[in-house]
Amino acid sequence: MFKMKAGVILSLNVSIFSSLYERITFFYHNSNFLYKAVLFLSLLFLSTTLILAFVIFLTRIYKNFNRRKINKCRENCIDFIAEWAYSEQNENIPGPIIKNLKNKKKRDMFTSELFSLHSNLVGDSASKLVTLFHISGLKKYSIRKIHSFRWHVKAKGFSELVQMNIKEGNSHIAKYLYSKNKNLRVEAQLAWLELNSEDPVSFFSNPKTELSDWWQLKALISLKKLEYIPDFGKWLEVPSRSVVQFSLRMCGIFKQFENIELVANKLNDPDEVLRYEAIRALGKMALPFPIIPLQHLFYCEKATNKAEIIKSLTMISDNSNMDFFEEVLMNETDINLRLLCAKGLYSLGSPGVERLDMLLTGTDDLLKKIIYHSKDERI
Amino acid sequence: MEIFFNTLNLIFVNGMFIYAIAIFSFYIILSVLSGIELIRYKRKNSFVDYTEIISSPLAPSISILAPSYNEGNTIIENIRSLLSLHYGDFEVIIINDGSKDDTMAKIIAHYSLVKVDYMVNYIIPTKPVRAIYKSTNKAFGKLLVIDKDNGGKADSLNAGINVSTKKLIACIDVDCILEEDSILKMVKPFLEYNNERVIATGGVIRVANSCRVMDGKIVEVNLPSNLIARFQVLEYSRSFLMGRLAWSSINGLMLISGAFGLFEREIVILAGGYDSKTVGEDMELIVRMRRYMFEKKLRGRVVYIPDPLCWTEVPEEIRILSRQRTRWTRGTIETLRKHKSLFFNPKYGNMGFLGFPFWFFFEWMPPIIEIVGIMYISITLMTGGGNWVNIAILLGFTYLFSILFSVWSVIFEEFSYPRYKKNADIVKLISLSFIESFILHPMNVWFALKGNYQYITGVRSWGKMERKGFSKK
Repeated sequence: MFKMKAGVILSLNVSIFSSLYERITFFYHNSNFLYKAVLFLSLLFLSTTLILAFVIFLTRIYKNFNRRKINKCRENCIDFIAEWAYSEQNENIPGPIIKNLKNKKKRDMFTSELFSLHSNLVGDSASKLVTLFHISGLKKYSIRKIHSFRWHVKAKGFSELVQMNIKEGNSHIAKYLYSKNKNLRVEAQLAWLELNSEDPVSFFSNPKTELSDWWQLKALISLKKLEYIPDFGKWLEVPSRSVVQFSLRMCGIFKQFENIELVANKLNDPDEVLRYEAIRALGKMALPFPIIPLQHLFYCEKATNKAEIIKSLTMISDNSNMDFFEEVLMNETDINLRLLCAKGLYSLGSPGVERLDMLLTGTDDLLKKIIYHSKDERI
Repeated sequence: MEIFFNTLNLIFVNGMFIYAIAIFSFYIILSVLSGIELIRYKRKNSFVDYTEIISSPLAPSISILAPSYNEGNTIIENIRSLLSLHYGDFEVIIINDGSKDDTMAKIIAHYSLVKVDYMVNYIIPTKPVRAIYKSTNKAFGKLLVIDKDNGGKADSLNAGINVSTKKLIACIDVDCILEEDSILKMVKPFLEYNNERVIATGGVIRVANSCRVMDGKIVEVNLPSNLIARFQVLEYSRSFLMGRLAWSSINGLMLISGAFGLFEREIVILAGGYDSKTVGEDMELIVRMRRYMFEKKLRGRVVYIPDPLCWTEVPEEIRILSRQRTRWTRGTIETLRKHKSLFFNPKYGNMGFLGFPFWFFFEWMPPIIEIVGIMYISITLMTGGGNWVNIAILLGFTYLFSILFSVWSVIFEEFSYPRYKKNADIVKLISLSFIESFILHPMNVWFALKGNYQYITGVRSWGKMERKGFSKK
């Protein structure tokens, strides 16, 4: 389409300027300037095109040269790192490797290979790689990165310190926990979470804390690595909606039963999204305690939360849900909700299946289709 | 009378001049915005481990919808490719749109399919579903096949949406080849925004002609050997890397390619699903979804990412290219007409105030204005009013600008996610930008005019897209 536009301009300009120089009064007075400007711009376009082409090739040559150089020593480095991780006794780092580490590109390659292997190892071998990281002097480069003025280099430094569990950078990381740069703030908070196992989510106390789903996804991975999972019940009443959302999710995922009442209280929250998370968390906890409040809530909710209530009740899997499921299955107009209820009944085992079979004796074709669907385990 | 013609001439020339300035300025601004967005994206994702998304219980679930019509020759491999995508909670829904060949029989036999008692909830009206199949082999547990009456691509996608159970839906052309981590990269924007709801994401579509494909994956990237296809590499590069990325950065994007897009199912349904009456259903859906968000006073965003995620076979023959381009033109007109209330309407944010007028003035109008311009020059020259020297200089000026723009897009390609490893391929691409104005461009103008004519005369068909198939080892 760009080409098309260029062509349009071509014809337009021709039409514009052919008249410009010879006929049209308005352009006639300015013809000299425009004429020069067009010639100048043409030359500018041509020279820029040539420069760009030159830059493309120069960059390719440079990149290829570097790639070849790096690949030459990559294999040696990989062998060395693997040997270091698995050997019983490690000696000094060989001279050629130390020499490689002085070169930035080779050092980056070495660090990346080391981190890549480390992320796939646990126990003794992983510890050995941490030792290698320290004695090869890579730590100072990671620390140097967190002092960089470029946010993405800083963030890279944070992630390196986290992977090697180096707490030296904590004070520096703390400065960015509330940074205005969203990306940097996210990375700093995630690093803080992993490096401060005593109080990993202390920054939640800031009412302005906002946690994206991406942050929450990454944080969950980090939390799973911690020895002790923090008590998320204490964050259920803070002003930040996303902190409450995350805490509800964590209460469910880590099955923090001690917080079940606090989570159930959130069923009355005016915020629909928080009620949704509370319903999900209660489903994950799968205790019969909230069955009655969930059933009552069903009649006040919109379709999304209604569906989630049925799913949660299905997960709680208690026979006291049978009448509720049947009632919704028979009276609800939303087919999706009816289907979920039929599945809920089916998940209750033989009592539920018997109830479904009993309902099949009726004449309602749609109901029959729903029941057949719910009973087909391949779906 | 002479005064009248002089005035008319003055208005025409001034109008054209303003139009020319606007078009140049817009493309320069868009390329700058794209550059900024590209740098930002690369920095932000330089240390992201996408595999973390795979196993997370917080990652959204995805239904991959792939409509298929007479794809018997390639369908088995295409499904295998989709099933091998890297993601945790996903299902693959193949919609057989009443194929007349052996597509359905082949899928049933190869994937051990049996009919299941599926209760289809026609949330969006579609042609009747004949049956739904699942595999008896647990290895293909993620696969679900819908066999339905023929209703076209949009109707098939709607049937898939009705059956899907996941939070997000990925709508793809079944014959496209996705990068293994494409879904992971497309999902990330849905997780990133706090105060805005991402309703759709799209990525860069690349040309797969002449690339070597093995087991449903691209194993060797080559520049197409066919000249028509090769030109389209430049076109795609300009359009995706220098156009859509910029629009995405200012939240004015109106189109996500029908070849591969990821959407929030709930919003798609609330907006009414695909419109099966238009041939530009991909653009129309995005506009409608965004309209819905604005009208409900919800903050929505459509995100484009510069990663090359999907490979598609582009037309190599002029007649097939003609069908594709005329259809694109008709689709554009249909969407612009259907949503004309968006035109310069600030109520619809940057989409209404900038994106929509841009599509009107600089996507739909150019071929018409170009032909008018050519006629004007011809008449001026024939009546002895033109100056050949000036015309030649100005032709050169525009021609050089078009080359610069193309080479600039090659730079974007090189500094974003370069896939062409051979230097010779880059030489060819740059050389192409010198001859494109004389070969592909006139064809495009002609196809666009033809599309306009077809729209006026009531042609509404999709036209048959013939594909040669990918080269295999």
